[in-house]
Amino acid sequence: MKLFSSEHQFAYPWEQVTAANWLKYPNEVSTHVIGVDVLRREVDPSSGILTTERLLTCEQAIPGWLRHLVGGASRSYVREISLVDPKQKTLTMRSCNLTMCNLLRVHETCIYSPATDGSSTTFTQTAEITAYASWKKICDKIEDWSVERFGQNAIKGRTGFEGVLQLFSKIQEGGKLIDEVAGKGGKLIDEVTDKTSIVLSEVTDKTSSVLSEVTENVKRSIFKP
Amino acid sequence: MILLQTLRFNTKLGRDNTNKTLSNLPHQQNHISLALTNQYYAKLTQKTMGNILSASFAEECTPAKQKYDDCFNHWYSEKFLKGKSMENECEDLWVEYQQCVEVHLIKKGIKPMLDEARSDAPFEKGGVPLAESESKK
Repeated sequence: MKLFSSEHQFAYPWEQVTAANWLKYPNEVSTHVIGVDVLRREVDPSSGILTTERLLTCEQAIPGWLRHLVGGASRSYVREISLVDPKQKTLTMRSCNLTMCNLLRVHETCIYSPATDGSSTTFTQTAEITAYASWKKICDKIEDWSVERFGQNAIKGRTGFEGVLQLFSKIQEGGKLIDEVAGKGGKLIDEVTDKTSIVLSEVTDKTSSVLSEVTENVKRSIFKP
Repeated sequence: MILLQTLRFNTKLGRDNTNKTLSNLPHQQNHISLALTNQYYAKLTQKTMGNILSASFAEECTPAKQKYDDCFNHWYSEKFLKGKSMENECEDLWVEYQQCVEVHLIKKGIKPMLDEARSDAPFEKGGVPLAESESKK
């Protein structure tokens, strides 16, 4: 069994981080995560904890030697259970791979909680990686590869999430302006509100048209025979 | 590799444009209107990322999933985090989405793996593997 662990701080308040958590995918860095689905979701009336079960769909190439062991699939699934405790202010996420389970198990635990300064959020991530194969040498090889792959994906996840949080935060600042200004009433205020909305819409459209263009180029290249 | 770089460059370009325009708005400190943020953010990501990354494991379920997600994100920011509600206010959208999910979990052969995982680490125990939670008693 091999262990992975890391710590990071996001410069955003806990509430914002947990809200953005549901929007973490898709992001431009974690391109291996191609689908996220909610399977079950409940709030415990006594504790107030929101528990969510999710299915993550991943598409990521694996090395040839491993492909021979698992039969060639590059599509994998991960089951994740998350608990949001709004009173204790913790978000705990536990996940394990569904595919390749007989050969390799990766148990991951992530915890988000407010940092002592109150305006940022600490993120701790640990993983227990265990391979099950007849020979120790193969086990070691699988575990070593898995730790490396996990580490790479963890960096992508953090970087991608930072991007998400940054954009989320910038849009929020603009949204606050709209809210405050609209609250004062008056024709002049309405005009300003509209203009800001237009600006944000234009920005949204401009950004999305740039990226749509790129999307088309990417698609064309991917589907070229 | 080149494609990925192009994508990253243009994404950065798009983000810089967004940041430049938004930074011309006066800087405000407090967090409000996560719901409004969600609205614009969802619009942005749907338009940009929706084409590259499919939202649901089964593309037939993506429209229902996105409607449910919109509703949930609003409820989460405006009601749950503020301690205003613990009820599922997106019930209808949830049912429609789940009906699709159930069908495709079976079609894609994911259901057996899922059932096994659920018995190993139940939802009710917060996903802690049973073996682990037993040894801690």
